[in-house]
Amino acid sequence: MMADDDKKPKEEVEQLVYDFKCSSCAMEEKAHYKGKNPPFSRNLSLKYPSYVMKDPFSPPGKGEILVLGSDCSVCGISICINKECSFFYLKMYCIPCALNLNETFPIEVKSKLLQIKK
Amino acid sequence: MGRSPSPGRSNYYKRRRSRSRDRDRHKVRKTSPNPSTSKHVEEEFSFTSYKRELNKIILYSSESNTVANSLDDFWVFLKKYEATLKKAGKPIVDHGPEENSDEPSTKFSKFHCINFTSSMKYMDTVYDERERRKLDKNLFQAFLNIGSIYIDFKNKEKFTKLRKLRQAQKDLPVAKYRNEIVSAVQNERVVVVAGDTGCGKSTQVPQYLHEAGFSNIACTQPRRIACVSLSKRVAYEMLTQFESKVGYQIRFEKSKTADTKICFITEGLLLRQMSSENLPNYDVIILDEVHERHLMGDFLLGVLKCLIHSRNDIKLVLMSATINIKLFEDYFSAESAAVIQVPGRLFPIELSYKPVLIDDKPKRDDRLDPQPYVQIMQLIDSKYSKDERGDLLVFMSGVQEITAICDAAQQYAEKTKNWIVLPLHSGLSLAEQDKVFDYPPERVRKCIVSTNIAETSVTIDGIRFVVDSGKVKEMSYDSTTKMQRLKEFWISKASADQRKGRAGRTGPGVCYRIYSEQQYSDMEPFSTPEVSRVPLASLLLLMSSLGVNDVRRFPFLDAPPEEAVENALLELKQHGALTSNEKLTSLGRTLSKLPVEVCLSKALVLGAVTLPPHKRDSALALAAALGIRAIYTTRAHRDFECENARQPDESDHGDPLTLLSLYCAWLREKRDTRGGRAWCRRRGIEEQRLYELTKLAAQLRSLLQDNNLMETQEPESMSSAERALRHGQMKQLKDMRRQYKQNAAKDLKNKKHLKVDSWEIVDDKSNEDDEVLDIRDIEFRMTNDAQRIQALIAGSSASSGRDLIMLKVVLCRALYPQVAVADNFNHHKSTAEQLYHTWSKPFVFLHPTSYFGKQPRVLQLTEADIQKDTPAGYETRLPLSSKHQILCYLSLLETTKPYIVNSMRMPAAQTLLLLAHSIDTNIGFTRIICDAWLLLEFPYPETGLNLLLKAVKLRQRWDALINRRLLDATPTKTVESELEKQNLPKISYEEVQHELSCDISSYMISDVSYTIKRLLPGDLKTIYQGADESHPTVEPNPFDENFECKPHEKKGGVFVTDNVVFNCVVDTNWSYSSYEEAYNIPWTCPNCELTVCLSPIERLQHKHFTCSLKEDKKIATPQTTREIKPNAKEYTCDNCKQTLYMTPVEILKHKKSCLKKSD
Ligand SMILES: [Zn+2]
Ligand SMILES: [Zn+2]
Repeated sequence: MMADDDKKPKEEVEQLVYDFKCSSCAMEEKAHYKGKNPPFSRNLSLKYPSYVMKDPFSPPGKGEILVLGSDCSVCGISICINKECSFFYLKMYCIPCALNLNETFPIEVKSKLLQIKK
Repeated sequence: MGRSPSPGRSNYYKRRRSRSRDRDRHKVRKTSPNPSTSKHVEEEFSFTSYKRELNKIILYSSESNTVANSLDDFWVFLKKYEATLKKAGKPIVDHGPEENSDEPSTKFSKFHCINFTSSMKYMDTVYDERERRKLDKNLFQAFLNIGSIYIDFKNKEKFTKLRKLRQAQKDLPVAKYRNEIVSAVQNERVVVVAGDTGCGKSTQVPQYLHEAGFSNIACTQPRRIACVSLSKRVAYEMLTQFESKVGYQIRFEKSKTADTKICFITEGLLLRQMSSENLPNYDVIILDEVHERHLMGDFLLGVLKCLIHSRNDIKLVLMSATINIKLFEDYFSAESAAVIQVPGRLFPIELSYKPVLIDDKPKRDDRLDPQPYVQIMQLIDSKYSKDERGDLLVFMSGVQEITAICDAAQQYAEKTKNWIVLPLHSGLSLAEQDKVFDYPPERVRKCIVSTNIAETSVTIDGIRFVVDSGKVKEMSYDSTTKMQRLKEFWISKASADQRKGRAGRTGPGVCYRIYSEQQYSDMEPFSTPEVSRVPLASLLLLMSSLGVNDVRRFPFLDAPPEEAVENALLELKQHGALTSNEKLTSLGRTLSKLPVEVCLSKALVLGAVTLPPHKRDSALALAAALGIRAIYTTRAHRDFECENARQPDESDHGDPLTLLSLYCAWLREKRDTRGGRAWCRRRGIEEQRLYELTKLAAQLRSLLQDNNLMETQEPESMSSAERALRHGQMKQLKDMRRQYKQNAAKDLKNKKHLKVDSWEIVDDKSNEDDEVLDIRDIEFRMTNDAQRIQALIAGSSASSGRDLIMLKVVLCRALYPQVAVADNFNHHKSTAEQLYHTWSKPFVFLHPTSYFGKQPRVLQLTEADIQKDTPAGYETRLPLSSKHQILCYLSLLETTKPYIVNSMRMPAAQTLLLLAHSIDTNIGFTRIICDAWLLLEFPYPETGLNLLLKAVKLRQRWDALINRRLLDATPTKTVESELEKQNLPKISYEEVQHELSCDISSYMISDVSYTIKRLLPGDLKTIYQGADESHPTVEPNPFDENFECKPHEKKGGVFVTDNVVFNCVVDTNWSYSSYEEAYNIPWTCPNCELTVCLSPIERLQHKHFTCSLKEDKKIATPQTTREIKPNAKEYTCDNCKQTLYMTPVEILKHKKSCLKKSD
């Protein structure tokens, strides 16, 4: 409860909204943050800059976040974390780009991608 | 503290060293089943061995995250994860890839597939002696990696939840019309969205409009509960369940804040917002469920139809089922409403008329035959496999019919063991109602027998079969007799279709109609709107306060019956809410602000004005008790045990006071023990209603305070010890509430399962009822501390003495003319046959569940009460007594018979003379007629006159007190009102109030013998003198010296006050001779001892104006300085020939002094 009150002023400053839309499945949500270190959950960081929203299903001030997706590290289009829309290996890839780069990934990754291709 | 490294620890040091030295070993380690060379320790490695330390680190971490928030769940996950690794022969401790490599590693690590990095700070925990090993930073790092996997797993879970939610929204039938709806609202003034239940309009349309840029959306609902549940649902869908973007506002509570963009509000409350000057700045007003045609909804439509002409910035959206769309379209044709129809999502429904042989001939005894309904259950059993799920919903007209069907169905169910029979109607407790939502066991069907509550208000999932009796019990209202009637009707086609539709919500269904296809086509297309069958007084008062100048010309969707409007207006005039030319009075304005029936609002205002401050809670509690639904459960009047348990708290003054006394007893129970639930159950009382009563009373109190009719209570100062105690209490209560909410959330997940028992249905929960946390009790205690409860008890109890009399008089004045007199032959009759007569409706019965319905003898005269030796010359067949009583009642209700509901006994003559709207008397004040209906005869000389005079004076003082209070309370200070205030006597308000209540209560118990007779229309033709006889005016007027007497046009005689007509009632032999006698025998003034022959009215005049003792007081003011009074007129004295401006009193005095001079 206290944490909630403490956070309020900060949140108001950070009231930036990112319109996130997955170009693969057309999912549309408003994200509160884009980057690797979501300010509303400070002991969590992301390896790759992502669209993050404060978790809508948990009470505020608990540091719960929901990562929605990122921009593809190759072509730059936005994709959500859904299996059919993106692939993560150190970076975020849209499925077409990931398939294109198939050869550069370690063998374990390749087999995973192969499954997706099917 | 031992600092020697534990075996485990040394292991890790070893490994760390090796790892930093040799990359290849790292790789090897990964594939080997066991990371360590020292097998004896590592074989059974699990992070759970470090649980205590890890938990400590996690919980001490300054910021929380998913792992910390769901620690228990995390450990469950961790165990499973470790088990999976073990099974796959993979190491549990995995440090992940090289930390400082910038290059995208070509070496695979599963952690590379995860976006999350958990970065909790490592904390050196104290060495644990028992565990004999210590968690080091590296091991912690490996642990954090698992944390990251957990967070990723949880993120996916939440993401899926979100996607599913969006998919469900997209799948709703209304979603396809989103753009059409949004652009219609943007471009048109009025939009009608028609779609059946389940199309999603109620939840989605507000969101569509919000996303399209509307920022202050009001959405009305006919039911309070819908406001709360819709606001929760919509907030959830908008992902703002922890914010206040979506809120609600209902009678007792609101969650609306300044941030609120969408507000679900009851129709009544929105109307009240319109009446206050500051209507919130809505840009869209959505009226949902307009097809239900509730009174408030219909009226709101009319108000908004007018509003959008003056407010261009407001858009109106009507949402309705696909019933009678044309009606709304036509109503808004001038505003050219756009209509958008959304097809529902109904599965095919097989329709069957008269599926079993049904005897259409009405039974002699009018009893319902349940057999066809049982046969349909058999039909379902034979036709459909028990493995196919699907429940049965039976629509019946009323509670009795439901009980009859349930009993028969239960017998069948006991044989077959594959049915659970559940009744559903609004008279059931909420817990009982909730049972219809529970799950039946496998291969068992629910058979829900319901009123039309399940037609639109309650939606039950899983219904596959519907049986429609085709009947409904509906309340109608006769405005002439002010009687509500509960009668059975054939339903409308629209209703029949709604009922049928309930079978096709979750899959294909079957609808059995008990009636024929012909009957269906004979049905009315639509049900009668409420406006044509309910009392209109409250509505018309509200309209008047909203500035509707001529209620007769208000553009109603369907105009109410003309007679109903006229009668309601008359009622409002009788209450003093409207003037004779239908302008709102200041009393009326105050009454319109109180959300209860007009007569109850009036009781509140009268109570606030008349009762001493420490007893005003009694009026509040009483009005609230009568304003909520009945507090009794269906068991209350059937179960002997319940009746016995309530008995000590019953009041022999009647139902309203019994309610009050039960409420006080409940409050005492709340004060003395925890709970109250068992107390209520023992008495057949629905505790929920008592909480509602408390809330309503508190709301009414604050409304009275807002209107300056009640003082704001200064919270009594608490000592620091008390404050500490209360603080501790609040903390405990909050903890309990939190616990309750957690439990409730769990309950929601595992819905209750019904059990089939050979005798009855047991619900898992009901036995542990008392141990379960009672959220309402917790909330009650949070808003009412011990001190407050004590104050409520003290303020609400009125069991004897002046407090009781005053409370009764206040209520009776508010309810007047709702009084009833006993039939002359009641003492010969049984309890059930006791007959009463009201002014508008002769021959009504006492409701069998009411106090007097059970104890009618309390109302009857005993032998000892009847005066045997009547005065000489007076002959009557009626009992002469000082103990006659009348009943004052809240309402009339006709079910099987016309009944008086909620009644209270009052002394007859005292009440009538004080409260009657018109009082007529003969010349000797021995025969007095009240409201052209009841004739009182006072055979003892001067008794009638004295009682009437007292009543008139008390009423004048009371009215003055009311006016003074309302004037003080009016915030708009005009010059006139200020002047008027200055002219008022300077005696303190409390003093006046105190004296008045002392005098009223001693008046109410005055001992006067009289007879009482109900006049029939025939009697009325001959009982008045008629206007053709000339009747001398009474000057000066002892009843009100400022009132100028004027003749009554029809009855004859003269008005001596607004409502008393003197000398218009014809005399009988005895009354005339008693008058003559009085005139002929010299009378001695008790004050000045003057002895003369005077008629009763002359005696009064003497006492009031000419008695020397009286005159002494007044003579001091010289005539010349006296201002001219309003009733002064030009007078030329016959004696001294002077022309003077004087009041009748002054004229009389002048005559007297003039004559003396000339003598
Ligand atoms: Zn996607
Ligand atoms: Zn791409």
